[in-house]
Amino acid sequence: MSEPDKKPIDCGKALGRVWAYLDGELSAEEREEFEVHLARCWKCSRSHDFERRLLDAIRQGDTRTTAETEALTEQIRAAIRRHSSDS
Amino acid sequence: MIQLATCTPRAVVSDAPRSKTEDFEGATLPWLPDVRRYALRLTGDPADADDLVQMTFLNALTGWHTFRPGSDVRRWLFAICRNAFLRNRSRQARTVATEESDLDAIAAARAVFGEQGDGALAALDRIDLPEAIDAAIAKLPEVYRLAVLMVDVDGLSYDEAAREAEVPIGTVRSRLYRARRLLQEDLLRQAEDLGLARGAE
Repeated sequence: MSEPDKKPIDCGKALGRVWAYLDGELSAEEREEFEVHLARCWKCSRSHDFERRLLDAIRQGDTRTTAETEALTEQIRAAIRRHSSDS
Repeated sequence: MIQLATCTPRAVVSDAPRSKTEDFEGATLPWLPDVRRYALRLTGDPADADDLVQMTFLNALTGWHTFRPGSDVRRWLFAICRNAFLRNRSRQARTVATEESDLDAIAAARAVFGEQGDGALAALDRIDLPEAIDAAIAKLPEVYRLAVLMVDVDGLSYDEAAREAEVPIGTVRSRLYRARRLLQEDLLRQAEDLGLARGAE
């Protein structure tokens, strides 16, 4: 016998959970409610896609290595060796 | 002999028969570009960021004996970098005048996409997102910037970030959501300045 139907969450509640969902901060029940809503609601699904895209970009950052970073690496390597030989 | 070129930075932290300095360099220097990006996001200034990176690596060298093999070198370096940054500026700057409630933060979370619709998604495709995000993070008030860095970049949970910042978990959530709202607004403004956001709808 199937589980009794739970009351689905509305768009307001779902949108309020988008970030906590993407951060892995929802309880199992909250996550399930959110995913059920998302599967049925195109607008919230698009909102979720937007937020996920943004958070992925924030997490990744600008990974292009610059000449300045390479120069800094050498500068710090030299400082480490100086520091090590001093101690 | 471990081949450094074929090892991940974490894998280098092993029982290799190397000097302490070589071991340290092999484990930490591959993360320097990440630490520099992190420092740049913290300080918003390239020269200050470079000073902070140097301080981070020298502090890390001093504390290398406390590093637990097998744990996350990148996260360890980020924590040292963040602590060095926090120690080097006034405590007063750590507080914001008003903390927003969770409800405000949740309302903020809803707003941007609702206002912009699919134009917002299209805008993200058309701007130089990594560069735009770094510029937007640099403009955030410090407590918001720290919340984004701890949760989104370090990967701390809300609870871990709250303990690290010594604030209630609701404050972390509130700062984080507010920061993301500000970032979104800034990115969409940057896209609009290029004529990309609303026109894309």
